[in-house]
Amino acid sequence: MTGQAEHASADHARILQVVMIGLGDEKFALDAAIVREIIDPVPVTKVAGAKPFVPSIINVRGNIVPLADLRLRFGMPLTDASADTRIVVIEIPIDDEPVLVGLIADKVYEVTEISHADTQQTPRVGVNWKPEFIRFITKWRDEFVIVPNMERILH
Amino acid sequence: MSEYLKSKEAVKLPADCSISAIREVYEMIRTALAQRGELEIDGSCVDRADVTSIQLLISTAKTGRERGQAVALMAPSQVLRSVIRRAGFPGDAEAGHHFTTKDVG
Amino acid sequence: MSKPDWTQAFRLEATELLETLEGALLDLCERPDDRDLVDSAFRALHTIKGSGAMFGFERVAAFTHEFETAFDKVRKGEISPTRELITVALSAKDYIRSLIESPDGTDAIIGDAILDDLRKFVAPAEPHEASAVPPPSAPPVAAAAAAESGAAAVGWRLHLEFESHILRNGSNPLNFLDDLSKLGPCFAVALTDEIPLLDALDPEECYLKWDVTLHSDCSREVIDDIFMFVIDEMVLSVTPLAQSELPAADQHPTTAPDVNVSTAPAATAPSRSPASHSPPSISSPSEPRRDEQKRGDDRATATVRVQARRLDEMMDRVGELVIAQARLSQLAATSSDPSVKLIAEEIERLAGSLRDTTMGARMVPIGSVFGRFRRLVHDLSLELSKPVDLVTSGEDTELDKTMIECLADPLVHLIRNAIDHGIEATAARVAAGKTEKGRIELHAVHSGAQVLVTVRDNGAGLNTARIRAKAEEQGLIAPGAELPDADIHQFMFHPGFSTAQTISALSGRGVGMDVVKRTIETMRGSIDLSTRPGEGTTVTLRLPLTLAIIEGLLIRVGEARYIIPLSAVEECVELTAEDQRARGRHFLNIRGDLVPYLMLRDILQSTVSPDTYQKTIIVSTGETRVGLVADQIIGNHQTVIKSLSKLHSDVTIFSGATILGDGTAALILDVAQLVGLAQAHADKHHLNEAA
Repeated sequence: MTGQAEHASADHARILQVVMIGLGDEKFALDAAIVREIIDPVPVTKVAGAKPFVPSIINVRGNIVPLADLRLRFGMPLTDASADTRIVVIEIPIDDEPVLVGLIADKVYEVTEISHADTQQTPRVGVNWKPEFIRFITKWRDEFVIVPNMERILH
Repeated sequence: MSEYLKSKEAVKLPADCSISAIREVYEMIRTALAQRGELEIDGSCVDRADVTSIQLLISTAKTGRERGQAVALMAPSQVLRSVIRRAGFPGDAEAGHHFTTKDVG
Repeated sequence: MSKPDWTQAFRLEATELLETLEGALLDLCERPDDRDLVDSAFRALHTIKGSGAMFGFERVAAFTHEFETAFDKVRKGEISPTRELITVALSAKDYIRSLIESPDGTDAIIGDAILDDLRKFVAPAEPHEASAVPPPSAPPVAAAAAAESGAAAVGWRLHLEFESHILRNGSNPLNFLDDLSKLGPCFAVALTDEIPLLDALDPEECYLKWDVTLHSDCSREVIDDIFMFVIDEMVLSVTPLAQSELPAADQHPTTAPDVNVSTAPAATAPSRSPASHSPPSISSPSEPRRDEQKRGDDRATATVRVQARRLDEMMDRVGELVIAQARLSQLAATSSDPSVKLIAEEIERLAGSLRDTTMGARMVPIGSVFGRFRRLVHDLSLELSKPVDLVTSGEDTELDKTMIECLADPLVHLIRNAIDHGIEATAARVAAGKTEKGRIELHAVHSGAQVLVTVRDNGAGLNTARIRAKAEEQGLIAPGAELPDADIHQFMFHPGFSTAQTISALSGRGVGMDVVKRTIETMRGSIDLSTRPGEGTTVTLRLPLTLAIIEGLLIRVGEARYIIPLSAVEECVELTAEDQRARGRHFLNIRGDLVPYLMLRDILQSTVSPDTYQKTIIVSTGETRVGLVADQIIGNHQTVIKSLSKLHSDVTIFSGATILGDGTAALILDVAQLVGLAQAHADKHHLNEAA
């Protein structure tokens, strides 16, 4: 909510540096400022009783990091890991404390720039995503990309 | 709560104004003072009071003076009077220096 | 630059020593013949004196020296520590504390009066030495005499300032004012300047100060007695009325300390007294330096102070080392080079002992917090006019330093509650056929992987009906809903439940019980409550031994590996075919005892089929034993505990995670939670059977 408000108005022409990842058939742009590192898949440890979208933990340089699967939050089918699968480690505030979270990405494209000027006001028809999970949707090389609101998604 | 605060009635101190409950009393008074032009505090029901009660009343009176809001303590109960006296405000004059005291009945 | 640090170090050290001293003195009240207590008190005094001199706290050193000299008679067994002597010794201890904390605000007259009192106890025992005592005390006597002559005629002028947190500890300044007014005509004037505006007000802090004029011929000690138990948390200045009316005498309190300092060391060498009297305190360092030398011998086995932060960092490093070592061992196991294996074993051994040493360095006996509560109970008991005995046991139980620190506040809450709401008024106790004096028991004990700390009172017990009414009023339960009493009592921990305005006026227990619960849970602990109407209430805190590294048992369930804290493990048995057949019963027969068990594969949602031979790990918390059924027991594992992130805070059956030798993460099972779960299963089973 705050994200939308501030980005829609004053920062109209601001350029945002992002890491472009692929999930299912969609592209998501993660704010590069929150991305800590991108690693190859590691063995995961399932956490019984955890919320479905954070089903497991992994070891990232001696830290126990929860592994989140955004596909579940966006109602996408789960696919098996492929040669392109990566884990993007991000750091976001949860209850005012920085928390490391690993995100499964079917593919990591590149670090690139997107512009708010291309912001698409209306989400595309037929998508039943929760609006609060999305900061905005914009265009990048003629494709629609989703800029997710990670705090909301992981809350 | 908010209905109650908007009404013209005095803010009524609860029976327990001692340290174990003072935080809530504090919030109540603070809200009341913020919402009203002048504040009448009804102390008739107080049956537990201590240093914290006194400090809260004085702070309220100080704040009222600072903001130009009248603050009055009405009908303080016997317990509250006794605590005020024990705390080193020997007479009504002393207490009155800090806030207006009104006796009802 | 470094000097303030040293001063701070001394303050820290002295605070602990004074606690030791207080503890020993209070214990002596009950066991006057215990030589160890006398020695412990004496050692504390001696160290304070030595360090005080070393760090430039001359007044502390001088006063403590006098104190020590007097107390030496007790140590030599020449006089016995009577209750009266202990009372004076306690006020001497408080005086040392105020000398350390606010040397400028501490009146030397108080110290002189205390020393006079001490000497009164000491002198009669050895008349021939009594003559040696007066010389050093001559100047103080003069001061005291002047004070007393003034006092006898008129009275005292007092200024009282309390530390801001004092109200939370249960002290009530009004009671002190009341006590003063019992001594004679007394006029207290409240000073309201410090009271802030509403927005800046912390309603539980003490802002008021008082000027008191007391018309009484009472002695200075009588006044000090009133403030005896808060003197270290307040600034008390007392001046004789007559003197403060004479302008010239105003200097007296400021000169008196110097006199005190220079004369005090002379007690061991009375002949030097006149000489040391004339120069002011600057001359005294030569004396303390002698103490410094003595101090060297004294502290050969003493401790070194380390900043807690460094201990934490060290623990982190050790954790990383242990993980790295586990990886090395794993690699070495597959290596064909025997010397690599040898080195890996050597490093494993070293890492293990380094871990134990580091953890040991962080362990502190819980008695260090228990000590504080004796004072709290004493003060609350006076304030609420409820005579209460505090009985402590298990003071030697060691806990990680961090946990001890976190534990102090919850325990204060619990003890306050027990006295305020648990213990009945004396009349009510007598009417109920109970002893007049209430009793609070504070007990700590190791129990498996945990430390149990219990606070037990023999008061009225919880008023279930009233808690229920309150819960209904707050809409937490439907009116008339069927609920076991234990569940109703749980509402005490509901946020905002206990602090409601009316409950403290009733017999309801629970100022901030939700806060207590939250604090304990952040320490990975749990809190139990049991109560019997008319007999009292017991609150049990279950805490993990340490927050950092544990010895674990590595097990496998399906394809996943888990850690069980080894200290909770009693034994491992094979699940027999007979047990398997009787699975519906969910009980194991362990040497005649029926022990409920849990199939971990069900709880951990394992999807692969179980091994043929299932293993059962018998774990316990306190008296409860439960079997956990797994596929394989892999072996012992040094487990560096890492907490789970906030995204997993809703998962209760794991207390954390760790990293195994191959770099994968493994979850640590929370035994207390599993035991609870197994019992719930067992109870359900019983119910089903009964139905």
